[in-house]
Amino acid sequence: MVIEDEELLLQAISKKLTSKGFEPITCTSAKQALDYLANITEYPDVIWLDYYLEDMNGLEFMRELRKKEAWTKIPVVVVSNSASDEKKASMLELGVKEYILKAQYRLEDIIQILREVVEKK
Amino acid sequence: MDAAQEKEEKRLIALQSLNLLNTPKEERFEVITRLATKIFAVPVAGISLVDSQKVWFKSIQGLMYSQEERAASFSDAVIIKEGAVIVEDASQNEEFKNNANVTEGPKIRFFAGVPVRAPDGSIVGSLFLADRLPRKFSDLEASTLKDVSTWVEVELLRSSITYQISLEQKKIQEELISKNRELAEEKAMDDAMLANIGDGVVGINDKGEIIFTNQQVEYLTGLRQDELIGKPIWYSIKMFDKEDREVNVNERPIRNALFLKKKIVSNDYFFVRLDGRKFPVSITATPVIVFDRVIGGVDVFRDITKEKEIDRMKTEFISLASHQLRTPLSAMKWFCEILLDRDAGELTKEQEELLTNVYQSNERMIQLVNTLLNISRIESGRIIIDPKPTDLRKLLDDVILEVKPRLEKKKLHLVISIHEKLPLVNVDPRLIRHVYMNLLTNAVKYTPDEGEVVIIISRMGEEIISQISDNGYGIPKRQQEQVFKKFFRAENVIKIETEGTGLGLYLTKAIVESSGGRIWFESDEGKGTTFWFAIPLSGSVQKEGEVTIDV
Repeated sequence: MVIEDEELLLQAISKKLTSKGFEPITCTSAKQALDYLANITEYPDVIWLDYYLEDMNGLEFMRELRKKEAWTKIPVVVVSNSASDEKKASMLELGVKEYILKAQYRLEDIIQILREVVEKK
Repeated sequence: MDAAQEKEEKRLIALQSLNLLNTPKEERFEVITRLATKIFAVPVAGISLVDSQKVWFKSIQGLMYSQEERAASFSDAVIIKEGAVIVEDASQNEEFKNNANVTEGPKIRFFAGVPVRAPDGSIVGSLFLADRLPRKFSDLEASTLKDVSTWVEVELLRSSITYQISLEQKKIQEELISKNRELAEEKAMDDAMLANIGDGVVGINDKGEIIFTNQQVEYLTGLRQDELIGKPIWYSIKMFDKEDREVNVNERPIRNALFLKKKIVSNDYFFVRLDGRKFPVSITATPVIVFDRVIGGVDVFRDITKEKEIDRMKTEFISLASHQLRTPLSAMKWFCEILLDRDAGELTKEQEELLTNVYQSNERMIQLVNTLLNISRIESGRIIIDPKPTDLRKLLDDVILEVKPRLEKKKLHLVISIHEKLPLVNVDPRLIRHVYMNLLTNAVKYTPDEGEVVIIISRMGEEIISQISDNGYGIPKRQQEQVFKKFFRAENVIKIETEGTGLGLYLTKAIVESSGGRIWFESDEGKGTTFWFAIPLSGSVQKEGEVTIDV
């Protein structure tokens, strides 16, 4: 599942994921993602989360995710534009597996990280 | 100068320092000469002081003279002989029978004189007796005269002491006058400064009562000087915290400064004007300590509304830039990647080349944004410096590992020498890592294939010095002054290495300096460049801040 409010980025991510054999569920807001999760029983392997979303930030989203036992098992990788140490530390504390600075990475590298996270699960 | 001259010189100085020459009669000397005429039953008795040319009679009985010429005087005979001169009948005396004092004038026949000495032992004159008739002078009388002369010497000592004291007093008085003038000048200077500086200044005594204020205080708080003087500062000038609560007396910076005996600086409080408008202030509260006792304090403050506003704008700009610029840059990066990876179908050779150019330009843009953000952070002074005991060897190993692919690609030879017992240094590892990274990537970038890069970390006195040298292109002499300037790129490499923002060394220098270190270099065009940076063994000073740099 990819949560990213920038349409263009979402489009690129989704295209690359598809070509790498993933079946991405794309969401442009936190609410959309949470609603989706509430209506399914087979959860995604991993969540790709942008930190700054229009309706809530990464911290708030992680707290929402903590509310349901089954959801806590879904690994989350944050891909964000800004990564202060403090933000990073509090997100990792909330169970985020990796915190990546967006423009520094190629999609392929991020997907590799996602793969590793999924395999560890 | 011969010995005699020297003695005379010393004698005259001793005489001067009695301050008795050509001075009015004094009873303390009169009483001695009067007594002498009675004891010895002579008409004339006197105390003579022998100056360079003249003989001054400090006291004389039986003659009206107050002075005479020194040459051929009886008194001078005492000085020359340095002992008693007794002449019982001058008319029969070979030495004196032709003396003017004997043949004419007072027509002296009898003379008995003994030396009198100044406190330093110099003979300055004599106590003498004289008569117009010849006279016998027994040994007993001679020794009595000598005893009386010691009384004269006691009086001379008193004169000398009095004169010394008067000189000291005069000196002290002069010093006092000049000190007073200095103080008055300083005060005028201080008053002018206090009145004209842009900061409000309030002085208080040890009870917290205001003893002076300058004009800026009135301008900033709306409170007049005469309303403030004598009142406790904490009740007169109200202070509020960030949550708009009035600051308790015990938490006021000036109160803490007095209590803790140390300077306190704060930018977290607000003052309020008479019209109720609150404004943020930067306060420096300093205790005034004399002999380890706090006698008062000085509160200096200024309105920082504008600074706060600029600060806020800068913060906003940084976050705006980081978010808004990076989003489209990421989109470009990723779409190019998709195309180059053939995820959207095959590409011709030319299309691939063109797309690679787009990708690389975009990478440069990303790098530029990163560096600009880092510069903006460090320039804003809001950067966190979080020193930890750091193993520079390990830090450097990590950096080298990251640069290794580039080193290998250019077949560069890397030589590393690190001090055997390098101590842990208290620095912010993220910042120092950035410094090594920048200097090493520069060395790699600006050295042709198969060149050499040398890294040396050594300890010199109280500093750890890191040296990064290469035998690459070097920096032209005439451009060396500009190396640490923003956007500078040397003209000899700009065509060889098109990539580069010209911001790396600017940022590196800023980082080194904010970490308490210094950086310098030497370079020869065509031969290579060496950069050094030194970090004090004592490490960096911790700094609270809001941002870190990205690497």
